[in-house]
Amino acid sequence: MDDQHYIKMILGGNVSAYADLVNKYKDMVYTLALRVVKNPEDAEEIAQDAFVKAYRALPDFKENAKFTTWLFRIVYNTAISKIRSSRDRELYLEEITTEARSLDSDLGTSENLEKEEVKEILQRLLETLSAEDRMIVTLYYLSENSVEEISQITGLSKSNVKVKLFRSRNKLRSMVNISHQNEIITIA
Amino acid sequence: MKRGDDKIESEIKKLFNKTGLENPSSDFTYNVMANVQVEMQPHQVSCKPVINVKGWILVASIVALLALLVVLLNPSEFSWWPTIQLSDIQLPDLFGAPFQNQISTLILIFFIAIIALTGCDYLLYKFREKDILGIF
Repeated sequence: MDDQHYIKMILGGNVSAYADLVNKYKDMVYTLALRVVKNPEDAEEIAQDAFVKAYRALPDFKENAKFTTWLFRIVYNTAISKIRSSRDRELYLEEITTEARSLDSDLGTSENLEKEEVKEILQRLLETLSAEDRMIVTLYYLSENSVEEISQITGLSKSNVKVKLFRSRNKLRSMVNISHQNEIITIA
Repeated sequence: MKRGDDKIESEIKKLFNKTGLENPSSDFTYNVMANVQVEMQPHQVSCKPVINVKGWILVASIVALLALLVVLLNPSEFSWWPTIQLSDIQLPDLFGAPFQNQISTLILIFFIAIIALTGCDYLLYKFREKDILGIF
């Protein structure tokens, strides 16, 4: 069942249909939120807020728009607001810098990377990026949104999105190279 | 994009897919729907006056009683205060000699002030209620 059908049902008064939409996108929304704030509790709160805001704004949703682009924009705005309002923002930045430093040594000494370790290192590598860049690369590589869609979600220009992706890609390149060297990640 | 970049691009994408999506708590959907249900309920406006009607009646009664007692028990001390002649009204002689068909304006002022305050409180309550409901 496509998203438009769910939306019509919800706007027609079938509130429980919204639970289906939530179930469909909760993992992606939660992952996006987690990429920005890192803390699982904060990410869950952001994801829940975003879904409630989306429900509230659903009557304004344009039929010809893509639901995920619209929803992710709400998630993005909610997450960025959360970071901006966070009093611990400085701590966040400090923590990221520290983790970025320790990451270099981890990558250099790892000889037998398992999947979980790869996951952890990828996450820590993502944390070396800014919150906005983490969101952008997640939207691009994981959610497979186009540059055009990311531009709509973040409100950045397409060229700006491309520049940010280019810079992030260069940082991620080192991770891929290390993985290849260790022959742990088998890419078909 | 160069061929090398294509390869890197593809590998990064696969790396992201390998790590997969994160999962929120098991009661995530339940919590969202509970919040949505709250959103659906009409907003109930709770608006109460600062002092309720019973409170005002009690205050008015006490103040009036005290004023009446003070004036009636010491009429000489209030002789400077203007009085209203109630010659046309036959009042019962409940308090003896001091109450001689006249009423101090002081008592009237007390009563009027209390009634005015009660009225103001009621009107403020009504205006605030209408304002919250968006009538104005």
